[in-house]
Amino acid sequence: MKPLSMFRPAYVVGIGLHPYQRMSETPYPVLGLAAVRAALQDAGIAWSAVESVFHGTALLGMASTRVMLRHLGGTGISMQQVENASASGSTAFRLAALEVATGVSDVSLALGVDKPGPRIVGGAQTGLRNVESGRVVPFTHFALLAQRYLDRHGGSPEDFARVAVKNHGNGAKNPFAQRQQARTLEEVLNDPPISGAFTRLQCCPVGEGAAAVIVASEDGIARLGIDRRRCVRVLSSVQQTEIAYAESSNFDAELTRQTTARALAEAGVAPGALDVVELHDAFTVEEIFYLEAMGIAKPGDAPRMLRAGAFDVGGEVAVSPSGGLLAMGHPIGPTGVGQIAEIARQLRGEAGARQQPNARLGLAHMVGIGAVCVVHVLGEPSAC
Amino acid sequence: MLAHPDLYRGVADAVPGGDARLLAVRCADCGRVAFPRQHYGCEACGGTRSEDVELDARGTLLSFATVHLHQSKSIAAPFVIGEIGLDGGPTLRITLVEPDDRGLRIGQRVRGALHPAPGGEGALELRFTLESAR
Repeated sequence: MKPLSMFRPAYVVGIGLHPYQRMSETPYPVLGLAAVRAALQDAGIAWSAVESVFHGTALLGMASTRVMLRHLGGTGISMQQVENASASGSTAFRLAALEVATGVSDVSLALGVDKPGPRIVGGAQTGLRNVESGRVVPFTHFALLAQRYLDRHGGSPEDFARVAVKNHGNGAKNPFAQRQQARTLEEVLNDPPISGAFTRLQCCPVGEGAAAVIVASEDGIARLGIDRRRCVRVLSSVQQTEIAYAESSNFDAELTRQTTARALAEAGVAPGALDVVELHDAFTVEEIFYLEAMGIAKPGDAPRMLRAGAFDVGGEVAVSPSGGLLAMGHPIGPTGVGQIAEIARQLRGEAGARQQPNARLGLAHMVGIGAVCVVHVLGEPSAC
Repeated sequence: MLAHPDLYRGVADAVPGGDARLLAVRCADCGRVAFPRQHYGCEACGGTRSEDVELDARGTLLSFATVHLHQSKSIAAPFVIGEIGLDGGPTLRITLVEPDDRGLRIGQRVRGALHPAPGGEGALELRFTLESAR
């Protein structure tokens, strides 16, 4: 396998979002077209300059891409729908970055659009039946892992609740976030209980929305006159799947550890050098698991660092400055693309009230059931 | 009648309170034991030779969570889920008999038996409980 760095450089040159929101009657083309038009405007290019599209969506159903994008004017370009569970948008971005890096296109669009809808999941289609009759859903999967974490490392449910306090505080400063209300520790802890240590505010909202990112080569940037000072380089892109880990291990954390280690090594970046991290915080405890798995915190030490403010905007590394899945929301297809948009905004220094000072290096991480992990490392415009 | 006859069977007759054995598969090449049983190939080594095995419904409590709500209206909450490390190898997540998590600690010994499934019209489902509760 060859790392992205063996190919020509690829850059994020335009970002656009439709706010993440509760499910509504809004047709999905309204969501997606708003994000794409915003990204084109941000890059300062016309739709006709885009040569390919990778559209991450898990729930819209087959053939949902062109019937939306035709309203930009049909140009006949390659359009590819991408499904990879929660990581669908991350995979769409990876494919756009690879398409540009390998020279197939000079300008490619990674898009994520989704609305809640019926789900047909692969495991059941293989004939697997649940011995607990469907009583274990994702929040209980992570509640079980959270209980094990407390048993191993000590601490209390407050350690998890503080993740929600931080991320809702960030979401309150993000006009694209589904939840834009800051919350106190008491509010998080006293919210209705869901499963194990988790209250409602410790579980991400799954709504609707859209995110778009335009990736371009140096040739494309030069030819289209794109502002180089706002181009963020894609330093690495790694996607892995689970293996048969030892029984009773934390599969999601182990997969994250391996995938992130490769992505950081390929980018030549140490975990401690990261300024901004967007990760799969669908449930509070995941942020703690993954920061430790990434090597940003030592095992068992993430709750202490969180209490000390290390992961706040303005701390050692801003974690989920967008609000993360917990506050910005998790509309599935858009989520991974929206992470890239947030990191690009941070590395450009355009994140306003939630700007991490002097942000130079960022990492985006998603996991998806099935089970996949996608990690990207991005570098500031001066790295271009 | 069992709720999941493809996942476990009653020892002797399937009666309330009766013992059950879990239907698993062992890879003939690497020895990995997998539950639930699927015959598509081994997840660890890819081997296609396997033998069906049955596992005792006994193990160790690895974790637990009280679930306070469920999105499906057909599943009544609260209930308690346990993560069990079976003595025979695989880990499974399954409903516990205990109505709440008071008295549960990681590392406790647990054992499965057949219980009437809620809303199951007489069907029996496998649930685990503390060995000390029996």
